[in-house]
Amino acid sequence: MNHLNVQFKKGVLELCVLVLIDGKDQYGYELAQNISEKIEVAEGTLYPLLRRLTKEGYLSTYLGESTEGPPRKYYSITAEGEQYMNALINEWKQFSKAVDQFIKEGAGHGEE
Amino acid sequence: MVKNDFFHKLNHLLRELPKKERDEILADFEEHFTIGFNKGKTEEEIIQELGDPQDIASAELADYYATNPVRQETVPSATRSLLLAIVLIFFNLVVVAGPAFGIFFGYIGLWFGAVSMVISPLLSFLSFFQSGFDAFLFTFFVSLACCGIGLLLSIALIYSGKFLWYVCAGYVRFNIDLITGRKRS
Repeated sequence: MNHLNVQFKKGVLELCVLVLIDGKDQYGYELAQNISEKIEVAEGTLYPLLRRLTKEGYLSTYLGESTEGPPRKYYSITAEGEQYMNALINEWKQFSKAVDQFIKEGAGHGEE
Repeated sequence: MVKNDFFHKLNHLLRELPKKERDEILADFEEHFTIGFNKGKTEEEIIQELGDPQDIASAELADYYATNPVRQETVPSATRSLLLAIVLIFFNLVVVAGPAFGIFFGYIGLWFGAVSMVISPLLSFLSFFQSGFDAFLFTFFVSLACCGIGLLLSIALIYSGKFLWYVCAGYVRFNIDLITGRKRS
């Protein structure tokens, strides 16, 4: 994901973060690892994203005990966040469908 | 770069933010490092994964200023600027111009005085041809005294000239700022 526009990447990451947290409450480190496993991203930039989503009321935080070390800050999705996530998912589906379509058509022409 | 450098750099880049915000951000990264260490990672590995502090700081600052807009610089309307300019021109013509010209020409005049006093010993030789030796001696010594006074006056004029220049430049700048509505800190 080095060539894609930074803004584009940000938008997609926001969606990924919401979906992952919707699946299961997570702490920052865990989330960063889960995302960077599949998407090449500077983990540090996820924290500003998490803070913004929290400020906007889409995520809430709580301190969870941990067996190793001090308590961790967990993120969970709010009702508002869920709504927002669903809107994003819909947009993403439409968008990626259209892009796939373009790629298929474009690639077809190239073969002719 | 080690953990301390990372935090120093991040803290420095976030210096515009209120302390509370900064502490929150740094605490999140502190937690990230702690967990990373527990998983057996080294400082370098964790920093490598986190990426450039500059990117983190830029995102935080952008988010912060998106929700806390910077105090708007007042942009003066064109009519306000024009009116102010007219008022200033009249004020300057009526009140400032007279004394300013007076001071300017007075200053020039003083320079003429100073220069002629300095070169007066040279001129005193003329009296030698006109009125004889005794009169020449007298004028020569008087002119030497004048030369000293002229030199002192020149020094005083150089300093006061600088001062006048600063006052003048400052006043012009003040006028421009007033019209453009700019504030200097």
